[in-house]
Amino acid sequence: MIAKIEGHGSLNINFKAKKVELNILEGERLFEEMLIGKSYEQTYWITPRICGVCPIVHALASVKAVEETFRIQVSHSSQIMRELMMCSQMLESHILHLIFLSLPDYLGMDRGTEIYQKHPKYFNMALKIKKTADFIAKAIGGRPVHPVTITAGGFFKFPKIEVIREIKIQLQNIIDDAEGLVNLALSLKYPALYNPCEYLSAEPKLADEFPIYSFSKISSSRNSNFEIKNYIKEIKELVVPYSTAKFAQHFKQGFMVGSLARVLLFGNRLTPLASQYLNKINLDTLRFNPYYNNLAQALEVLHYTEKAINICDFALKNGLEKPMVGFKTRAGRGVGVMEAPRGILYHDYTFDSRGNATDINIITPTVQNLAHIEEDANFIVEHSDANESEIYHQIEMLVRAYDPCITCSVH
Amino acid sequence: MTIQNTKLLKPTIAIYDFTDCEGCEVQLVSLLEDFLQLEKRVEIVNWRLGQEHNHPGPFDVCIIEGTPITLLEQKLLKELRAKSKVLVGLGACATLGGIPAIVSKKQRNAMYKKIYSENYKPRGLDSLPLANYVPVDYLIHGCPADKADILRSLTDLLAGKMPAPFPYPVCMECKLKGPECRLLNQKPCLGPVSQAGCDAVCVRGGTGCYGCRGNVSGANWTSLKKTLSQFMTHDEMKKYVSVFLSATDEYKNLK
Repeated sequence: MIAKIEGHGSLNINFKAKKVELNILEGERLFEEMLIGKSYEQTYWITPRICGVCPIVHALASVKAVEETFRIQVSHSSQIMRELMMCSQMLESHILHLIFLSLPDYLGMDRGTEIYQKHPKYFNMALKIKKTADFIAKAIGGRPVHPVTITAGGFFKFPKIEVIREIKIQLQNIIDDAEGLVNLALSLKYPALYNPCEYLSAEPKLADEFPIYSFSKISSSRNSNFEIKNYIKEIKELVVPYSTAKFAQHFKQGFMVGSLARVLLFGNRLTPLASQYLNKINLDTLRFNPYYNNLAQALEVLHYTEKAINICDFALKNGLEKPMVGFKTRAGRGVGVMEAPRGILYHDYTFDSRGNATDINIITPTVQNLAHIEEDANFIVEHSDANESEIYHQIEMLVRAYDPCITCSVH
Repeated sequence: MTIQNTKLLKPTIAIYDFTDCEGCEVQLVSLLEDFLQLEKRVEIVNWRLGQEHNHPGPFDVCIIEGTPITLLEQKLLKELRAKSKVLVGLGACATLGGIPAIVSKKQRNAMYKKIYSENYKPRGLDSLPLANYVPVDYLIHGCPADKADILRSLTDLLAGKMPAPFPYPVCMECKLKGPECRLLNQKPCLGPVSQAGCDAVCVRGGTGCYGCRGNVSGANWTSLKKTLSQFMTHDEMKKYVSVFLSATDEYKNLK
């Protein structure tokens, strides 16, 4: 069993045949069929429970699918409050992964809480960022895990403007910590690996915006962009006998989604401070080495902190309109796409005229990464001359660098 | 003369997660400093999410999150029961079957075929609460479990006493917090029959109570059903109650 990943997976390495199988052992919860017949309000209530680490992004992808079906246009205020929630989602998920699950690998220790004793500075940095993320998620969503204020049409209610002011103060107080995190990530020694692959990320509607909430299409590092609604033809999900999660492919190959993909595709759109750090890095070093996903996550922590401050500024200057717009249910299909902390998330729903679900398809980021994790692992087994236990550890570290969310992948 | 070491050994704790979203473990981690204070008083000897080196047991307290869906999980649950002094269920999946229990055993086969393929060999058998397989000493309810409730329960356990369930319904906390009554406004809510301890967070946020914390003692379902039927069809009511309570008798009685 691989420790310190979200969910249950294990590695089966055949050193003779130089072949790795990534066994996904989580029990099947069957969300897609579970939702058939449920009413639209229950879709964005139930689907966040796919994942306790990234419930906000599931709720948002879900409510977007509903709103697209019913042709609801939420208010600009609702949109920016959802963007602010997304910033908190990124901070929360990245911090948990970077500090508590991945960093112990690089610092040679066993558990995240050990960092508390050995590197209290890093630990406190992480703690402050995590607390701020939780504060934002609670202020807007009602609580950090499984939000309660999101509804088709916007929100049941918005936080008071004083709360936005408090959020901004807290965010300003963690800018130094976010920078510290980037410096920490820059100081780590990443294992060498060069295994080319395609990177995919949802492309923001605005030309100068880094991925956050509104998307126009799926962008590819191989110039094979595609329309969001065509994802079903482009991304093929394979069932493999040793896994309860499917393995997705594009052009019959694995590909990578997530922080590294976003930074490689849209790095020139990062906020000013995050850009300064990115400019110190040669992007070609990062390309095709998945361990650098950890560094990309740190850059994103800084980016989304700055972005969140900008959103607060806008709200403080312009105030917030009313949280909800009215709507009627109608029959049809909607695809809600989001960039989750771990990559592209598709929620594809079809409803009847009363708003009851008749068809549901969900593809999570980890399902999209699994095939390439295995390809990278095979590459390491084939090319490394280290001993078996070292290789095993290096592959475990590789799996963790991808930040897989196994519970998401078996949904 | 005997030399006696009066330093007490710290109680050993194991944290296990079966099939679920791991949101309750996220809540546990989110307790942050409180969690670290707690960690000083105990020895976490087994926690896959948090550490690589894990001890096989026995344990003083074993906390289990999630539903034992696979055969492996069901076997492990029985082993864990045998080697733990106190077994605690954490969160609605463990205490009620939760969201995974929406899918009944009977429905699973057809669903596997549709989602995976005709030849897919499934791992999952059924999604039921822990107590359907082994005796459980205490349940920390909620989807997700509430942070204050986790802290209260663990502090009680460390003090050597069994924590008590909340003796009043969600409505009590809701009234104290002040949102308008959903039922009076003809909107669905299971607050009157559900155990408190959440500060009515969902109702305050704008969503109805789906009953993730299980029945309060003396829950009057007959009355609530009568109230709900004034503005919901039987089918809508069933759908609403099914979200967290599919594995309960109250849901089965709705059929």
